[in-house]
Amino acid sequence: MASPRIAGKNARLYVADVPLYLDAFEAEDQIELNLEDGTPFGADWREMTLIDGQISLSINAFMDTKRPPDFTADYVTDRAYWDTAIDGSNNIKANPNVPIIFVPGASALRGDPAKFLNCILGSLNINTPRSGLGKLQGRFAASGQYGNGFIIAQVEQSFTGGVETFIPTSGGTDIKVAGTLGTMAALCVYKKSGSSSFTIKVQDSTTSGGSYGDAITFAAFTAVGAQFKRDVVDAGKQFHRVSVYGDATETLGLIIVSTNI
Amino acid sequence: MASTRIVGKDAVFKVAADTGAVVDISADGNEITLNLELNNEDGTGFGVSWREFTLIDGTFSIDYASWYATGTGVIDEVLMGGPTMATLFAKRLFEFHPNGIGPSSTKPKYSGSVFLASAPISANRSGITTMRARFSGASQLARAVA
Repeated sequence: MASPRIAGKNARLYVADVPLYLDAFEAEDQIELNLEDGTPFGADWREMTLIDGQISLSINAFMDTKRPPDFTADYVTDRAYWDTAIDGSNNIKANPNVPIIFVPGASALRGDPAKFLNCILGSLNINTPRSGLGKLQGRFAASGQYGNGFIIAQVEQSFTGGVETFIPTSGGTDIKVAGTLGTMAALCVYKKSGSSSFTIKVQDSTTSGGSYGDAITFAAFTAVGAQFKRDVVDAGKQFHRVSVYGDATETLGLIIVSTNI
Repeated sequence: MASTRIVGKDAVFKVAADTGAVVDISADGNEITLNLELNNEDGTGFGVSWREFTLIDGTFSIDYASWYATGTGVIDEVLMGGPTMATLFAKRLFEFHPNGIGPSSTKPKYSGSVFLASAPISANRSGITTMRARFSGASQLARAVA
């Protein structure tokens, strides 16, 4: 018996701090492994040798006029691409890397698999046909390691100021592998109700209900944003949870994806 | 709930016939594509398992499809540099408004300078004569929403 098919319509995609899937209609995550023919004399069958890997992402979206997910603020969708590479003065950014989180599965809940990586915009086509909708075709090149991880937080909730909140409230998310080197994670805060400072950490433990230590501490932030971080200070712990601490009570909409490396 | 889609028919494209002011040639156009290309170079060092790309610079081009039309201020004369083609090779200003004349918060304006790269005219026995112009970017591409 075949396994259940996954309908593409439920995929989610976060480009920097924008939940772009609400305006997008197609995404393709391309993994290419670079192989070189290493066959010596005398062999009857070619023997390929793996050199390394690289990732690119194609993301096609509609040109829309409001910022997702609330669709209240004026925001033309091309900015989700443009801001990844060009600064506010129309100059190429010195550091254009942005995290992209891609959830190709049927749901995007805590514990579901997700892909994530740091990317640079490679090209953007803005097409406006007289007889159709304006569309955006973007292509990104990965600027580092590919993350094949799990969603460890996907919430829109109020966080009480001055109190450390854990996601989940007890235990942790099983990310299936203990890892040997460290931890890699991406954070997308796409909604924030105020301007107070928040700090978010990924914590890990060898057992779900065990003792948790800090694996990754994202930079403190006061507005919506996205971060990608790879840290080797902690390793070998299979269960991850999220710690959220804010100076004042605010509602955040966020998704965090992590894996062990 | 989805946002309001931007309909292509509202797009506006202006380009200068010479080194002067831009001219609106949208009335005869039917499709425009702005291609932004960023040049990423492989900067991967020894010992790394995944390729690391570094952004070097950017360029852009514009593909503009139009019905072929003659007369003062329409595509034939504007793109060809006038009756004597004196400004065919001129570096020209352009403006592209994907959602109608802006700039405003929901009507971005792209602008910069371009050179005409190609402009084939296609005359079919059974159809309307068309002109497809390609422009190559010759400056910074600017996006404005206010």
